[in-house]
Amino acid sequence: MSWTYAYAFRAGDGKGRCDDACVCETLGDTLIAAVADGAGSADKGGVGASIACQAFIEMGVQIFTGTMEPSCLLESIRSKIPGGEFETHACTFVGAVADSKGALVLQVGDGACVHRGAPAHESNKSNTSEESRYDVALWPEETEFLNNTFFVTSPDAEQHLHIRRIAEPVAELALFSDGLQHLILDSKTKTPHQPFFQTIFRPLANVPEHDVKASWWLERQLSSDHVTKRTDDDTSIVIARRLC
Amino acid sequence: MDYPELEPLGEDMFLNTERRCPVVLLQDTSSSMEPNIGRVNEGLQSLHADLLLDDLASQRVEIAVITFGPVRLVQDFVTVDQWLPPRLHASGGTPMGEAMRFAIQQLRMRKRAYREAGIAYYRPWIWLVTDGAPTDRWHDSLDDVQAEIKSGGIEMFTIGTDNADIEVLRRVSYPRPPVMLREAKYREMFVWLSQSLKPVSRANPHAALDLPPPTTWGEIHT
Repeated sequence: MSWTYAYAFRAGDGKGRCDDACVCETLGDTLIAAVADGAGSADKGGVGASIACQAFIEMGVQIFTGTMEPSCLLESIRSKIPGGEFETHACTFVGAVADSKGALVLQVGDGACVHRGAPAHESNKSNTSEESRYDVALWPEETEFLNNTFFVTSPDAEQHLHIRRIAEPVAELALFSDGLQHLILDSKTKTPHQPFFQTIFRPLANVPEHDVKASWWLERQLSSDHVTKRTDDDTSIVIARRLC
Repeated sequence: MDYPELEPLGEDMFLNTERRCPVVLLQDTSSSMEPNIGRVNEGLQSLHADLLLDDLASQRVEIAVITFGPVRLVQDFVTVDQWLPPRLHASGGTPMGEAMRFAIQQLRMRKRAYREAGIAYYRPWIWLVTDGAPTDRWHDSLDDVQAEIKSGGIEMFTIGTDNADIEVLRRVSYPRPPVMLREAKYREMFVWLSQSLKPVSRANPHAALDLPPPTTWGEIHT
């Protein structure tokens, strides 16, 4: 197995259900991961979020290898929404596919993917894994006010679909929704908050493939005071680390 | 079940997120307001007291008080936990047009300050209360206000009392209809404002504005 990963999601305080969805799977050497955030204004945003994640699991690899256009994902998501009720299923979306050579990140609306390059001996760079910094693949498309974003379910989603191809090996990546975004991406410098990312991958050290204990640890972190006193939004995160 | 060997994440691993919800109280203090200005002042105290009960709202809602006339910035934007409600006095005419333009200017300056400080913010509210008809050229300002509303830049509320020109208010806040205040229920009105701001100031991004009807203090004029 080439990757180890964990994920967790949690309903915001005072909310009965979590409208975030996240998935992560491996297919041979390839990792496919996604998070989607059902809109607070949409009754079935959580359903939309699950649909979006599932569609990406089905099509992500083909988009990554170039055998399918990214816009097909948007069409697929919309075609799966019951009754064509796009607004009531509105959600944002961040998806990533990665193998030993590179990665592809797709995004509509807020949430983000943060990644770090491979250790020096693999990518022939002078820096080591410990020294290399975490970068955000795509800065979430901004709107002026906090109450607004863009949805992968909207008919005009293609105008807000952002794509980043990373043409070098990725050692670690994290995908997360808007609930965590404001706590771990610095909007002044437009960079990831390094102390968070330097720590969050720790449970993936020396564990094989999908490790349930790592997911439990992640879930506990989402429930900690540090998170819950800063946001009462739903929170979700996927973390993955490539095994050498 | 947990990783005993792994320590939980620490406080310094997260950023502190600052958010602001700017609100302009655009209050008519023309001389005809004299009989009710005491009630307005009590209402401001109620707004302050009620918002203070909510920790998150009192750190996120920022109040600015602009009176007319004459047009004056009585209180620049300040978070509720730092705010001391002013005592307003009634005098002069009703330069509502100038007041609206001034309010929009103040909001633009405030938003620029937020952006420079990297502070995220919610759509601003303007809460206009008047008991009469504008005594200045208000049509130009009407266009400014309507342009802001149409571009989604502000939430505009108009509240009329006594001899307020409801047709003017209707055009100002369109498509949101004006509310006529009943029996000088300023306290109830400001408590309603507070109760409506609380969920907004903690709203998750992409939440729709969902306000209760103002049944305790006024009637919507559709």
